[in-house]
Amino acid sequence: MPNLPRIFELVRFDFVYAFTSMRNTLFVIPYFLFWYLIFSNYSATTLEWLQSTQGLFIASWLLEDQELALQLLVDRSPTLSVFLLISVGIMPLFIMFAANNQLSSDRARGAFRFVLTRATRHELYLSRFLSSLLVAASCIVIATAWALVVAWLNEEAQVLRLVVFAAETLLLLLFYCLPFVAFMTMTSALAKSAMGNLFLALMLYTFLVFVILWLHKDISTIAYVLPSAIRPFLFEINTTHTMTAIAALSLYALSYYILGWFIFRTRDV
Amino acid sequence: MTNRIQCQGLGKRFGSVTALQALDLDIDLSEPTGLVGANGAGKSTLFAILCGFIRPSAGSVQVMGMDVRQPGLKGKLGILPQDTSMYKGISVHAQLCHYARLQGFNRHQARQEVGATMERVNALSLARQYPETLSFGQRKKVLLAQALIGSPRLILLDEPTSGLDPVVTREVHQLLQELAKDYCLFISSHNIDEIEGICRNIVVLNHGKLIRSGTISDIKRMHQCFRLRLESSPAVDIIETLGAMPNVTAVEAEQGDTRRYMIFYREGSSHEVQIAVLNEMQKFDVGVEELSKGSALADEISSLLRG
Repeated sequence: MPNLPRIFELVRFDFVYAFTSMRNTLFVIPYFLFWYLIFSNYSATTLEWLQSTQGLFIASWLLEDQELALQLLVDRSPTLSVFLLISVGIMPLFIMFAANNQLSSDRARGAFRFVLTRATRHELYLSRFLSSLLVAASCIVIATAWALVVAWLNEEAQVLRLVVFAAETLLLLLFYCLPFVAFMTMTSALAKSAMGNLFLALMLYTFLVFVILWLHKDISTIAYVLPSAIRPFLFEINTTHTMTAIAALSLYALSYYILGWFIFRTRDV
Repeated sequence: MTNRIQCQGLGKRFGSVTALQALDLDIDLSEPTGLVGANGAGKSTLFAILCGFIRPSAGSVQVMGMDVRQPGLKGKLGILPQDTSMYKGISVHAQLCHYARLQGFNRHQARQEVGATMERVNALSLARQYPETLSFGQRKKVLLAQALIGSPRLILLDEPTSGLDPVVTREVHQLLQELAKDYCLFISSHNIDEIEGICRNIVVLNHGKLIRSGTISDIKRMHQCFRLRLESSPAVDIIETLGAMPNVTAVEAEQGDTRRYMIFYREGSSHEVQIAVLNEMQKFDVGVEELSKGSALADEISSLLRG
């Protein structure tokens, strides 16, 4: 059984290091700059356009579901819905930048040698996954809070209703980031540097996307190789769908986690 | 729990390179032990296997009676690795406190432990600095402190003085001599004087194979020799002349110097060889500045490595 105080200490140190190291925080700048560009141009006019026939038509086309577009942009908070849609869309790339420095560079630099005489490999592996998750989750929490403020300033909905939507959105995003962080943990067990891990993850993800695009007409289930297949379940606010999505995303995360662990447990550090 | 390191048929390959092969080793580390061998002998690989950093390709290894992967070993083994760096941008104190907390100390105890350890290695003033601002020697001291945190039972030191200037080397030597009183030390080094000054036992590796293990005095006794220093370079070929004498097994010029030679001889023939060497030098009218018995450990090791 992993030693919980040790895991807590490893996660704490890693989390602090993630925000004190210049290189580790570089991803934060483009991420928040992106949201700044989105939110700074967002106004009541944007809101009107989103709920107009033109806006709904484009949303229906993008989501391939008119009812879902109406549900998201009319029944729910359009600001938070747009935030959810964009966040889900950029999630793989965001996590690749936010969680690429898990095991790879420290393994190459030898810093693990100070830890592995004090903690087990599994404690180290688990803590790197958890700390990366915590870093990504912190950014998602801040961005969601920002979206909530923007929604509150531009929409006439009740604050409580907006807060509930924001909480639902946050929960979905946190679960959606889970398998991507595990995916990065898995690739970091192979790569020898943070940049190498980013490159490896990008290549592997792109390769899988191409495989899915190529084969999905013959083998429809091939889409489920990547967690992106769960996206439609995230947008429909329906308890059954939400629970299905959460269970499926957890299963993806567990699969990637276990696969990565089998690689890391035998790797030389 | 024993203080032993036991390896059976231990092997490690890195692709086509064999770093260790069929290594059988049983060492009692109750007394400081040195690990010597040329570059690529497999010293660092052995240390990495003992700490569980790398997995052996063959064989088994036990440290203090436990498999190296057992969680029970965590915190009981400390290492000063050779080529590793600490985190940049985090103070030495914060990093060492982190390692102390991994060993079960609470925040307050961790600070005390780090303070005491840094003081022990005469590096207390470095605690608040960042690793990137430290000199190489200062970094070594900090890494040594890292290895001592939590008072592990066994400490592996991989080339503790490599790359250090003579002043810091001497300081580290003194420190290691002090530490040897309280800890089980296993020191890998190229510096034979360092090993001889600190350790009682020695393990010699060459090309991943165990050449010899035992006490330093036993190893020194194995290869008997005289060291000959001449007043001037002789006109005759000393290696050929002395090499032809009875009971002499080999003659070598020390570092190519034509005035300094090592004369190896068969056990029990020291007196005859000594007299014969002096007679021969007199015959060729070569002045002898020094003829001393016995050899330094470095010579023994090199003769062992030569096979």
